[in-house]
Amino acid sequence: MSNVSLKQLVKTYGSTTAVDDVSVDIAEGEFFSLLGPSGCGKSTTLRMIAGFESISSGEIELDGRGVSALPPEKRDIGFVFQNYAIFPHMNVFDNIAFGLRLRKFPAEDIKKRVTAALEQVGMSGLEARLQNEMSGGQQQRVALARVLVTEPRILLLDEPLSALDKNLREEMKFWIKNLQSNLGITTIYVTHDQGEALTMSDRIAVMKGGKIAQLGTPRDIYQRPKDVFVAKFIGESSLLQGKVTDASETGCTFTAAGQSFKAMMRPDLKVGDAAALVLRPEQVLVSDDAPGEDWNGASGTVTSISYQGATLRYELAVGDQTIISESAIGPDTPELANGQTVNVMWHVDHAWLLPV
Amino acid sequence: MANKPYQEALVPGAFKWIAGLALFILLVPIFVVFLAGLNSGDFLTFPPEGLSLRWIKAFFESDSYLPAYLYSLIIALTAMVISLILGTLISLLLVRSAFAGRALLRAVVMSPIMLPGIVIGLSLYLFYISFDIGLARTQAGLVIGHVLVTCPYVIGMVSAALVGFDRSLEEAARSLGASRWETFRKITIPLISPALIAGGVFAFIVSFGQFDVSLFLTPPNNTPLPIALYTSLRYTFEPTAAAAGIFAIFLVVVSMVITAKITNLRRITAANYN
Repeated sequence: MSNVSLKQLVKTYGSTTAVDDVSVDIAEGEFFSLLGPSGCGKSTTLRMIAGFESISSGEIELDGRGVSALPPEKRDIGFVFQNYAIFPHMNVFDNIAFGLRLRKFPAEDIKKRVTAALEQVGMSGLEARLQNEMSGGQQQRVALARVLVTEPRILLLDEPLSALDKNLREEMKFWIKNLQSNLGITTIYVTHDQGEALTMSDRIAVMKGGKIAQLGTPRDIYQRPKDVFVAKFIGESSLLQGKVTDASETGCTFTAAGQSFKAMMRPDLKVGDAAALVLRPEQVLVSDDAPGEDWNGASGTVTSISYQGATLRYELAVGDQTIISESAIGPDTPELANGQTVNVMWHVDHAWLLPV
Repeated sequence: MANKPYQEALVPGAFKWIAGLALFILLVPIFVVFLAGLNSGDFLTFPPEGLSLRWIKAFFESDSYLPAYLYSLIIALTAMVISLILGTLISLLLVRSAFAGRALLRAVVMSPIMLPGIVIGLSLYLFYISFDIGLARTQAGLVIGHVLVTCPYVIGMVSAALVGFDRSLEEAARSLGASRWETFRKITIPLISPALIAGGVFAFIVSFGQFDVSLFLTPPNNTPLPIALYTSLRYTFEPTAAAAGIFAIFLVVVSMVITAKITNLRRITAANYN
């Protein structure tokens, strides 16, 4: 049985629709991300699950039970806020004990649980700290401990990393993911950062304009984006504009910039349709050699080279279009120069078409 | 000889002089009242003829000043408590709900601090007698008049605190299992308490020193201190009035000090919580 079920969820404010017919089933223990640009309805969806926003229509089920009539305190959820929302008039201990005291736990039990929770988040010994005496990362850990100590059925995280600096964000990403998988707690994670969503999630729902644009595993979404919006939002990509010119059972022929390429066919395209080929920079190779079997090759000109430390990034003109290639710098990385004509290659498995 | 390094002054010298002068002008009357109350002569004069506590003693033995002082104290405390409750509720309504006429309501509840107190007192008095609702010249009628002018101070303070209030703290409490009331009591009230304390002290001081509103509303058997001072000075020019003034100033200073201590204490206890 699914743990969280959103059924035709709608939220309207006056004449604007913030969340428009969202239906998702989230499994027990799953790490599920709602990913999208600001204003796509992801936070509103999360706040409706928590009970902070009323729903306009549809239903939210937790463990098969409709909860839209329940106030937030009756939903058994844990919510972590973007700004952590540590109570400033209480120290760390009292913040974490807050939920336990409301549940009338005996004092020694509270002490034991709070101590265990602090250990779990690596904050032992900081019981007496106040909110303004902690870094963002520490507040984040306290916010998580405060939520986890009440053993909620579902964990809701609203952009919990966006207020942290970059290094800490990377570290916390893995830390939260580990904590979540150790606890096996169903988690819904809202973010606008595709890197976070890809690394942490079991499944991602990419949202746009209140609707789910694509629902799938990180791999699906990265490699098989459903449309141009998803392809551009998740990761970097070059779009090669062209036309489907021939189709067979195994694949199709795609013509762009005056050259023909092999590509995977998708059911919503037919011969003669305009389409765009998505090429991820790391899947595009640049070489003097001719392409092998199952590889596409195009003749291109190097227009820009930039050194990125671990990788080299080329901008390549293919016809009147631009393809970006990024490859790791290794011992046999060829030295290319601006204006040089090269073979731009990518594997057929990476030749994914999008309707335009 | 070494040159003194150039340092931009944080406060221009002229400002310091102006501030010093203003402070001096504000404090001189208090100083005068203080000395006049310790006068050993028979009349309210300055400079005092000599120092003595005879008028302080007279204040304690007086059958008009001390009861008036205590009566003012009771009225001020009552007005403060009612203003705090009413003012907090009105602030919540004004800040947290959206309805047509909210700006109008705000203007109406804040208007008593802009209207002359004498006008409020007179209008209330006329209202009480023309509708004959049994409030004219009663303690309840007087307290209503005081609350009208003290409540806006609480509303002003508490509204400001609520506008800047981070609602996610309340949402966090809710999701941790607190009901609306528990959230209000354990999160909202403690976090707006500096505004409540400041608003309460303002309300107390404004009520305690209130003359204009009290003039028409004072009950016949009890007189608040400002009215008692006015009445007695019309007939006798005794330094007892100045002695009563000393105690009035004393009360204001004490309430200010207590406020400062409470807010300081809160900071200290917060640091050593648990």
